[in-house]
Amino acid sequence: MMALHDIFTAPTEPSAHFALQVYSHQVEVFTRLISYLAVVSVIMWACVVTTMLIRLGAGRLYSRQRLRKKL
Amino acid sequence: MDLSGIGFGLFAVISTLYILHFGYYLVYANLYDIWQMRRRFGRQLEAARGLADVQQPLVTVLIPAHNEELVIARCLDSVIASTYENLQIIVVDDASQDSTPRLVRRYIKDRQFKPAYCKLVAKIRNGGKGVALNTALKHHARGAYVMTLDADSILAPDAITNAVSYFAYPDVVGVAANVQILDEPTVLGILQKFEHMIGYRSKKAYSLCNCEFVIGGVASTYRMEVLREVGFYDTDTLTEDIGLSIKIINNGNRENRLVYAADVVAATEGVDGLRALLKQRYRWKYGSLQNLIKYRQLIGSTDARYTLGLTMYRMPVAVISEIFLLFSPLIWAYVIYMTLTQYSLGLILGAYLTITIYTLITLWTAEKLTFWNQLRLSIYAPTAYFIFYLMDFVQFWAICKCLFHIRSLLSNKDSNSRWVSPRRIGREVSLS
Repeated sequence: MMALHDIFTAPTEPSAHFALQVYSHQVEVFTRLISYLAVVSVIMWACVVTTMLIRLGAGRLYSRQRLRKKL
Repeated sequence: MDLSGIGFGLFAVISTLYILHFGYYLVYANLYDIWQMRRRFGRQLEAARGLADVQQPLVTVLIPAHNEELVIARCLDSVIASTYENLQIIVVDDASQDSTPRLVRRYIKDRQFKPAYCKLVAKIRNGGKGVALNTALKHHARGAYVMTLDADSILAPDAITNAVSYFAYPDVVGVAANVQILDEPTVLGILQKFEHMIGYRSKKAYSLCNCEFVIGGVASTYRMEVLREVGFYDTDTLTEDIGLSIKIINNGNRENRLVYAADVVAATEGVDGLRALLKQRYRWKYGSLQNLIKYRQLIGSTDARYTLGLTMYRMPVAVISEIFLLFSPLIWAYVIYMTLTQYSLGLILGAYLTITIYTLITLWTAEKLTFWNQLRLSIYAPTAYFIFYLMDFVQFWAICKCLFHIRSLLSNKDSNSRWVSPRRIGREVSLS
């Protein structure tokens, strides 16, 4: 199957040249967007994992064994 | 800046907001869980040392019913099995055409319950759910706290005890329950189960930041004095439960706090067909929009009675989400087109993994879910991403239908909290 990319990489007319330029620019923008979102996601997941570890710690702190010890 | 630059900026801002929002839910849900553990530990310690308050204030459990013969006995069984003893149970029958009132009468007679403990209020004329609830609240409820329960729902034995414990905080006026969907082995059943679990996770975050304004009708508990103060339920919107919670908040949420209680567990039947789901979501969407329009002065308000979290974040976000929903097909189309044409699956894979991991985290930290249920649902987790698209479609359809009725929505016509009950299944289940 002929992909859209192949259509744009086989320019024959001036209008196709223009379309190729627009498309390449879109691809560049889209790639930038993905890398940008990846960075934001990594920061987000770092925060989530940190609080999950704190939550695990809290689970031990407020466990039944500790309750028995306190009593 | 050229057009694609603007597009990039817009898309980047929206996506970042989505990711940050997602992170906010997860981080704050973890902090909420820590708060819950601390609370539970404190209560257990007090109970073990004999310091716990042994006095039980009277709690009225209100069960509005309209044609609920298949499920009403199951609901009553679960309330009666409660570990909380000082109860007043009122079933309000809103002119059912089936044998609901007869069944309730027999239920009370067979168990020889005194009217002070359990009674039936049978209305002759059907007036809608809000009217039925108001009748019972104004003329029959005596409790210091009122819990409303839908007839197709069941309560966990410790639900009322746990709900009452939140009123130890003087600013808490309403408690939202953790409502789970009863097991249904269908795509829609699993979808609703995941949706409820994930939705309630966001409630944890809102609760901790005191910006919650939506409390559903199942197993929500209120202080009676506050209900009297606000004049009980409004009957001019399709969702009387959201109407009541936002009406309370309208008096200032700094002093009238609504909290989500993950340990107040109830379960309800999900709808069993796409058509019923579409109908239900349209009603919810219409009712939510009615309430957002009715209380629009809260959006962006700088009044000191409200938290900024409510007026500057939660309520504006509720409005913006509805607007985004309208454009969601465009966003899907753009993402799918670019992903396919670029031969890059990065974005879709990222989104897929995020949703799957989020679903798994939600599952494994869910309250009152047995190990085997967690394991069973984990098998379905990889499909969550795809079935959420179905829910997106349902929500999109609901908002479009609301737009078709924009005139009646803005003029608040077609506004009566009437009964819209999906078909009941009425299987034997328990939450103990």
